[in-house]
Amino acid sequence: MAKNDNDQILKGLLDTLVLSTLSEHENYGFGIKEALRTQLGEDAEVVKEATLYPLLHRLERRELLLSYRQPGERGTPRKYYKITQAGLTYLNQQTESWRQVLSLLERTIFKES
Amino acid sequence: MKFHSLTRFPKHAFPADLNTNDAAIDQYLQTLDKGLAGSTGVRRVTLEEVRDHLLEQKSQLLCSGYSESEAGSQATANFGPAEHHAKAQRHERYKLFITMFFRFGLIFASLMLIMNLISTASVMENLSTLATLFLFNMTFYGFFMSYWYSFAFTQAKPAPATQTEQGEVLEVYSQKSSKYAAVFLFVAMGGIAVSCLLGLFGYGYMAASGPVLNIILFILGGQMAIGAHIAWTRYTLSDTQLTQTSLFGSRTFSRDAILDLKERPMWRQFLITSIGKQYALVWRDANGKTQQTTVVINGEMHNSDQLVATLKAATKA
Repeated sequence: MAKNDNDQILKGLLDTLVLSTLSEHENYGFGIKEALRTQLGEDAEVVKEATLYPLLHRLERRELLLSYRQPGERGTPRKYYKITQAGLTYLNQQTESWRQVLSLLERTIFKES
Repeated sequence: MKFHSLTRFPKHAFPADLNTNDAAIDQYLQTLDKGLAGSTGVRRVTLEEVRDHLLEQKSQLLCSGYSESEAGSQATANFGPAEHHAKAQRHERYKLFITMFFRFGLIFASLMLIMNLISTASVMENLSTLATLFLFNMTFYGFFMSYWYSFAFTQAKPAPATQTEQGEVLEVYSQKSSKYAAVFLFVAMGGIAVSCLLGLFGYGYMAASGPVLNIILFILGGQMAIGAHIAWTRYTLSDTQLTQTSLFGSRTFSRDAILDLKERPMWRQFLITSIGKQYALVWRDANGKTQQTTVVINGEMHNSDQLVATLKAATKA
């Protein structure tokens, strides 16, 4: 698969991936990126900072996330993101949708290959 | 002149305390700052988040063998063009401005219209004047309130949690300047309420305003004056309980009994005015019955965002 196609598929998954990371525990921007890197390895590169922060702010506006600031180690406050109940519900719905997609692929394309 | 520069006050200068002593990172932050909308406080929130990320990234790159100067440059390169982030922040603020313009403007203009209708003898004859007044109130009030909300207001700086015998305790309280503002509000709004009360009995300059208008203004002024006490309200949140201490006493809720923290609807916040956002704290009493208590929390309180996030996240479906 061409890298661009791969990126497009992963980008469609980003909301779900970020919410999934935050469902484990609250985290800050860099921490979220690192958690994704641990899970996705090289593929985490698709979550560029230029994509991650607007995405976090968008999810916050949709009230799927909440943010708050805490005193940070570097002398300035650190902004943390926390998933809301609505965020968890959305995550479950999205996970179910992706499961259905996977099931379809497994019964068709993956089976043939 | 770019529109966003009209929203930058009291000064355009980059906050010097955000300098990192890394030439590449400092240059990046300064470029980013030039493209951001809002007061110094509003811009700071974005700058601090980006600064934190860049410094974390730099530390990681240093650990993986990059030199001091390479690490800073690489961290900023990875973060993407500053203008891209600035544009996203500007769009976010403009969108908020438009939403709040209509919300604040429509509610205020509607309230004023009701008051005008009460005091206008012949509604049909004054229809065009009332319509003009409605539009003026909506534009004027909507613009100023939305401008303040979108480009000026910032959450109070977070304060560290306090260590006690019961463990870490989050304290939520107003800063000194909020208390001075609350005293001013109490005097001004209390004065309006008293004038309207006197007017109801035919005394003072509000005597000619009519009883309905005096009653409405008395209720609004009284609510605002009493609501000023929020500046002396303190919330303390430990692992086991939430305590609300105000001028009127103290209340404690077990953390296990708290079910939800729900924002009260906008219309209710305008009818029952308070200095801050009203939430319904939903909790279960000793008999297993669900109870609701109104708590008022405002962004000028230290750590209020963390309190809201913690209590909302505790929601038990």
